Amino acid sequence: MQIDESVMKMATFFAAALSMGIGAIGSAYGLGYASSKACEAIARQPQESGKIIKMMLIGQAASGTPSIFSLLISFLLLFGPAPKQGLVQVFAILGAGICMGAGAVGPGIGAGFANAEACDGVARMPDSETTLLRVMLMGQAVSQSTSIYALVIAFLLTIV
Amino acid sequence: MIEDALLVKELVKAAAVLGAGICMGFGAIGPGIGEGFAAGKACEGVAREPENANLITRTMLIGQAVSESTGIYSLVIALLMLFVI
Repeated sequence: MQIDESVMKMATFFAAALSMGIGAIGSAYGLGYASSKACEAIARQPQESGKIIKMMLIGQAASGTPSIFSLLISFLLLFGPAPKQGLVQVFAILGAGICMGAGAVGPGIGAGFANAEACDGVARMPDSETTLLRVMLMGQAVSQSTSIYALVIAFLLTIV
Repeated sequence: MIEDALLVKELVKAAAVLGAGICMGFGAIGPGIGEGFAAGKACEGVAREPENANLITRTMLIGQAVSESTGIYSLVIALLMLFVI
């Protein structure tokens, strides 16, 4: 089936918007939840604010990663090599956008939960900061894995 | 007639690639949230009883592995739709 170049462009723009638009929801929620818990923790233990802020920032770097993947796929779709023209390619591009967008929601929220409880934990037991950091990062790495699956499938779909 | 058959084949492939994207995308939401929730509660547990950190970490990883399974089902189905159909 003959597909016009403008239809390909439309599909690309739509997919880039879906990827970044949906993908931003989860990470933003996770980041905000972590910072709200950190504020609560600092209100309870103001003398430990340095440790709490450090924990919050390290965890937020991890829970922001899925939205960076979304950004990457959006940029790839917008400025990457032009795809071949065809009906299958149109749907593959749309699929890549939905895949990375929706796939980034869960890990963003989940990593934010882990980060929030770690901030809470530092306020409760400032001495076990290193153990908390280790457990938090291990859990976030596992929770991150599904966004990496989504990234892989989105990459595969863009090169179909 | 031959043109029709080609079009149908192309339509099936198009639906399969869109389906692969939807499958992996929405399939990744649940495990991501669930595993993060487990990690969060594990952090809470370590903060309450730091001497049991190893036991808590082990339990967290076992629970996360179980929760990961649905994400892997999505991955398998997405790869099947991409390369088999």
